[in-house]
Amino acid sequence: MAEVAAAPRAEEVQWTKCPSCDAFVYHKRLRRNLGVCPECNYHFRLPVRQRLEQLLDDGSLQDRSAELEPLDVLGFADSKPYAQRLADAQRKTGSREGVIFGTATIDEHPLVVAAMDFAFIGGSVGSAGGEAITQAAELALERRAPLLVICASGGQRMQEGCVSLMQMAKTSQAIARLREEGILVVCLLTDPTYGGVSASFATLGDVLVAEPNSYIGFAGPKVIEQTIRQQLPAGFQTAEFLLDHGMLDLVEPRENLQQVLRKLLELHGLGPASADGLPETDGQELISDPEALPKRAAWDVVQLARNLERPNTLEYIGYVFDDFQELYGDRLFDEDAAIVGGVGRLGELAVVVVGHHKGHTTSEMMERNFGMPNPEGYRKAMRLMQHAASFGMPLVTFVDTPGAYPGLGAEERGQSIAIAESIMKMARLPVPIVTIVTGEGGSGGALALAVGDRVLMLENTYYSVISPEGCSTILFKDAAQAPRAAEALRMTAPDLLRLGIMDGVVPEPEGGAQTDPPTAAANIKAAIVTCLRDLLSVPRKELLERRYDRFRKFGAPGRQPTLPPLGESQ
Amino acid sequence: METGEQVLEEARASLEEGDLDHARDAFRRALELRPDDVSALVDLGQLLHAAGDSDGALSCFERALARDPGNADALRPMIDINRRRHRSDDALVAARALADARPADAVAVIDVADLALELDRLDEAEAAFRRLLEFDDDPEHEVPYANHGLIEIEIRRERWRRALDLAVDSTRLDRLGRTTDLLAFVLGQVFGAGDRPTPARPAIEQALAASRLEHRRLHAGTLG
Repeated sequence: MAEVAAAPRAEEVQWTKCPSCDAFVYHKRLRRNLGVCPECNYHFRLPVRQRLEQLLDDGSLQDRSAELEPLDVLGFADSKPYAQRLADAQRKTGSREGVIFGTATIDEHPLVVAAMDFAFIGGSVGSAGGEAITQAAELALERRAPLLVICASGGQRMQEGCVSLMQMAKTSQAIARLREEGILVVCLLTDPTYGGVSASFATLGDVLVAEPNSYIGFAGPKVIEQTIRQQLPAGFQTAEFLLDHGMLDLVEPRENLQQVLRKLLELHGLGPASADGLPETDGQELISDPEALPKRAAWDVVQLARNLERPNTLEYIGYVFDDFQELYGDRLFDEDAAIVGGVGRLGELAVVVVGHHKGHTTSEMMERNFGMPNPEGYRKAMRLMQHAASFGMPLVTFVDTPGAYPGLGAEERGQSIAIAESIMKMARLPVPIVTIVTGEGGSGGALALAVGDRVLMLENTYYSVISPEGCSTILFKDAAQAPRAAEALRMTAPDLLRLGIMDGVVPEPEGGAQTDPPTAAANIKAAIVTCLRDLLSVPRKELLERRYDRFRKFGAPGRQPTLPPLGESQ
Repeated sequence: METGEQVLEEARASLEEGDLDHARDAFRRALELRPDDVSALVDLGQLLHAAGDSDGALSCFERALARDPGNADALRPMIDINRRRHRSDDALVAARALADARPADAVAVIDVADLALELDRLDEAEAAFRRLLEFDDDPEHEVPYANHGLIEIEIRRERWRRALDLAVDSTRLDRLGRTTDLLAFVLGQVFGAGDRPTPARPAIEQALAASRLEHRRLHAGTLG
């Protein structure tokens, strides 16, 4: 017998049409999928409360924004009075203003969160929105808690005139104080983030994360098209476009966001860097006696250093560090894949890791520009060095490059300046630095990442002012003399130890690091731990003085060791 | 013996988990027990629509609408299905019902305007654009698409003077200059061709339809 069913109310919508693939998605399924279309992965714009539910621990939000009230400072009216527009937005969203802020936790890590609601007059920022962001930053400073800002906005609120413009300065200075104090600021950029918001607090975080396909920019694409009278390329101003251009650290699907935030909070909440947090290791000890090293022809070492099977930086990072979070971009021009870096954990110690990266296959090598950085690679490295300084994290650098990229664009964008600044940045970085040459140490392009308190090299690597081929051509007038030039340049571990360029040599497995990457990595880990154990106890001022002295002695009369001519006994 | 409610719960759980085949079978079983259950009819209709069975889907939606004429979950896919089948009249009927049931639903009213224009029902299209002007007035919207719709209607009516007034008014609202081509086209009709290259009417209508679609997407991409 048929049962009697009540008709549902018409406004209870159960199905949502995806504007990207046109599929109708069951609402509960969509919600369960965090507002991401299960058919095409389109990320719907989320109501702010739903966004917070997805990211924060249940019930952890202590909302402090209830008292905020937008000001109609100009008595503004367009097609309707601003006061009425505000009342409409308040009725529609159930919020007093378009930003919610308060304290909360993510996986039990405390933080201050501020989240923008695009549904409230397009997420535009006026007095109350700016006040919410600023109060959130001030609260984070007071509590020394990380700040997470979730952005979604068309820009400043026109109806509040110049007062809304001033919110850009007000919020930026509040974020600046957090940056100065080494308090983590993470900005999550969602679709859309534009105008005065993207040109102030939204892009001032230590880490910028965006959702896939979010549109982010200063001027809207239609304004740009209209101004330049050109059609913009596909994907212009998407998060992916910005990532490619070095403006973002990460683009993460919604399902990963909580995990990424948890990891960032954990890494930046490990406390002051101390040797007590270093792990026990079982790698071989560093070699500091040149005579203890096997004797190999320099040219053979060059071949080993260039072996395409040798582990590269990201592989070493995977072996040596836990919870590594790679960060991208120079925030100026481009993402340079020839240099990689991020934050990882060494035992209970958070460290920043930066290194050249080559790849193994032809396509990987091309993608990484054969490990030859452009200026933006060095600028990315400097950004990460500054991150280390801001959070008091030791810096570990891996060097493996034939040299900085010799290209037209690289020169136009200041390759020399980037290398020089990177060298200087490292020289004065107020945290311990350990550098390991893991492959090729090609000249200034290598040194830009190698001004460390301890500079080490793997047994089968080289470090040189020029490649043997370059030296052979210029000085020996014959490219075929490269093996001879390699010997003459004294570019391998025993000679570099004798010259004081290297502080130690990391042993490699028999046949080279490529024969047993885990063992090579274990030796590297042991070396890093040994060096940091020494360096972490040194006061900052003394650390910088010692580093100054380390590089001051090179070539100084009476302080620079010299080598006997080749062929004579050493 | 399982009840209709139990089977419906099973079907909805499958739906939520994305097991669409099982959900479809369960809804069919549920409807044997509760043949007039509106939500089950709608859900089954949606599943049939997703599986490409448009006739089966329409049949479910029609049965649901007989009991609940304003059901948005039935009306929205009906607009889609009828549009794909080039049955714009039927699509307009569904869009009209949806816009009546949900007067503040900008997507529904845009659909009415769009379909009425397509069918040359200019009075209805004009009413829909005027409605949009009343409530879809977020200043963040960059394109005065509703004003442009009104100009398009006057062009079709060949009421050039009226079209010219609207175009002049629209330029004041349009900081992106998207009205320029429209204005030039109308001026050309009033005063004859000038030196300025002006897009032909099909190109203008195509650009306006694209602008409406873009605006529609802005609304549709936000979860309420």
